[in-house]
Parts: sequence; C-alpha cells; structure tokens
Amino acid sequence: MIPNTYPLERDGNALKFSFVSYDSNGENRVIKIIAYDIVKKHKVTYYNLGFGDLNTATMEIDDEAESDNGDMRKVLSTVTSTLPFFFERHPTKKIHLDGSTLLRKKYYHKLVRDYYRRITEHYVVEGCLGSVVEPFDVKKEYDFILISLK
Amino acid sequence: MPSVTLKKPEIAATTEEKQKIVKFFRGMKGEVIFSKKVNKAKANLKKAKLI
Repeated sequence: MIPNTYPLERDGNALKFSFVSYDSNGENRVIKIIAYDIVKKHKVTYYNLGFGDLNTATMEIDDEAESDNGDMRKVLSTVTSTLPFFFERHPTKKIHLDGSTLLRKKYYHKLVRDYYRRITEHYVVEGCLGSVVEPFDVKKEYDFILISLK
Repeated sequence: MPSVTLKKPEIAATTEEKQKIVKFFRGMKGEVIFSKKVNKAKANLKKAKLI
C-alpha cells in the first residue's frame, strides 16, 4: 500500500507479527509487536489492529510509548502491510483501527486522508461516530476507523 | 487482494532480539494485552475502590 516498510517476522501462522524500528543511525532499536484481536463496539464484533513497543524487561506491550525514532510513517506502513495476511484468513471481517492516544488517533486519520485513493483501491474505509458507521469522509474525525476488503 | 512479500531485511532483528520476540510470543496465553487496556482496567478498579 505504502512503500518503505520494515521487514516483518510472523509468529507461526498466527495473526501476530513483530519488527524492529530504529533511528536514522540504526540505533535506539525498539521491538514492535502487531496483533489482531477481537473487540466489541456497540454490540458489533471487529478485529482490533493493535501494535506497541515490547518492553523486554517486563515482557509487556506498551501501546502508548513514544520511541522518537522519526519513523512513524514507516512504522505505520509496516503495520498496514499485515492487512493482506488478516484478510486472507478473515475476508469478510472488519478491522478496527483506533489510536491509543488522541495524537495517534489524529495521525491515523491524517494517514488515511493522505493515502485515501491508494487504500480504497483494495479496501473499504468507514468511520464510526457514536454508534453510526458511515463511509469515511476525509473532512471528519471519527471515534474509530473500520477497514474491510473491497 | 494485494500481496505482500516478506522481504529479506537490510537490518533485521538480531539473534538476541529474535530470542526475546520468541520468548514473548511463547509466554503469551492467547490475546496480546496492550498497556492501554491494562491501564484502563486499573483505572476502573481504582474508581470502584478495589485497589
């Protein structure tokens, strides 16, 4: 969808992935974990696309961490590169995308706006406001975004 | 459907990083729990004065 991604590692056949992010000097290496898990919103079941930094000391995932590697676009591009794996397994399901912080939420909206034409070549993008799901309007800010296969 | 190729990385995960990733995935029981969810649950418990 978007060029320039980090190389992915997949956990067997599961919808769980990892990659390593680093700064422009190849330093400050951070292991990122991506996972799809079921989430219910307004009595509807979706698959949440979650990702965060692996804290190797506690073995916990921090989805609010700021690694400051200046590679947000590349990180998100890598995250979205897992979409085909998801839809290969669940072609009729919808992916739920929400930011763990307000800033991230805004950034995801911006990313969808910037790449809207390319994304919608393969996917249907919707936005949810309150309990109303509607086709994604680039002028609106939604509670969360839904992505499904065209 | 678009296809994605798992390319050979220029700077891949090191052996040590790979071991940590494997350890993490093996130690997991089903769902991957993200900190936002944990913090939200803790806040709810605090609100209910359970912790």
